[in-house]
Amino acid sequence: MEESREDLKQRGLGLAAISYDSVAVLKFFADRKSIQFPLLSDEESKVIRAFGILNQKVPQTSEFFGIPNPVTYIVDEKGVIQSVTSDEDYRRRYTAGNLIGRTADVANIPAKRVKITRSMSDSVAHGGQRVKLRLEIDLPAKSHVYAPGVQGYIPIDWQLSSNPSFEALPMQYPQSRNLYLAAIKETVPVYEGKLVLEREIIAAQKLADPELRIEGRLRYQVCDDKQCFVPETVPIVWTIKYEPHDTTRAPAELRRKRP
Amino acid sequence: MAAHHSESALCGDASRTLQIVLFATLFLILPVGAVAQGVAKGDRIPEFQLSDQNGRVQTFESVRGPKGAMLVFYRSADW
Repeated sequence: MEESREDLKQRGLGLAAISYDSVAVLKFFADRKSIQFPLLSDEESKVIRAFGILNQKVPQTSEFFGIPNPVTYIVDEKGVIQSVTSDEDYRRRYTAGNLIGRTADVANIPAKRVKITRSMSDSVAHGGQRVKLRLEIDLPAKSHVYAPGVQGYIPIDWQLSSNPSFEALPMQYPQSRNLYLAAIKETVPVYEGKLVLEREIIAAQKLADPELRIEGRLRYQVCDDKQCFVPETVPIVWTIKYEPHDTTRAPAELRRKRP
Repeated sequence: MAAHHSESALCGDASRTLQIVLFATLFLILPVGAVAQGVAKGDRIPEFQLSDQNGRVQTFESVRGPKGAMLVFYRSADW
């Protein structure tokens, strides 16, 4: 979260995180993690209730009663909600960078006939975080690559090698354009100009390595108005610094008491 | 919807009853889902006044930037 603060600032956005923890617990946590942005204490879950996101699955007798559903809001300067993101689980959350479309560690990947720029929403991920990987593909004028679903040609295809350190979420390709090829009298789904491909991974909860290495490959075939070129397969690697889910507890005397 | 179509193959009252039940179920489920989500896109957020980790009282006005803010609700800093 600290990592994305600068990007939020550049977008003119402030940041606050809200939980039912006491000021003392938040202070302990903020000092330990060097957190500069406001961690707000909603001990009686009044604001959590006002937002309508009190977690109803937790019984009232539980020490965890009062927790919110894991939701992130992006709000404009007048307080009007621009986006709401509900996470499926507290341990599987979107990163702030993912939600604001951050592009970190931008690098050019050598490739034939196209320009590939690789980036990702975060250069550091905690266990369970949902990070976005991004490829920007610039095609030369008058040329195209084939989109998934094409018959008889090689569609663009982005694969990630499976690896226990992350879960790859299903890939959704952007809307393609139907192109009529006069030479062969066929209409085919293609991408032209600038193509942006994005997909998400969820970092494993526990990982022995200090980094997450995501190996992928992009396969494509470029054609122009006269000919098709040899299909290419380009290896692309994302390296994300990994921090395990932090399970350190506050000192016993600071902890929340059972109701 | 596929299930709904196959139900329509039933004739007369049975089919109509099923349709009513299906629609009623949909209308019952949707508002509950919406409530669980809380305030929605386009709504103004409720006002708040809460202490931060340093004991300073913060409001939306004090945490926002010139274009607004990201507000993250999370389980706990201690669990």
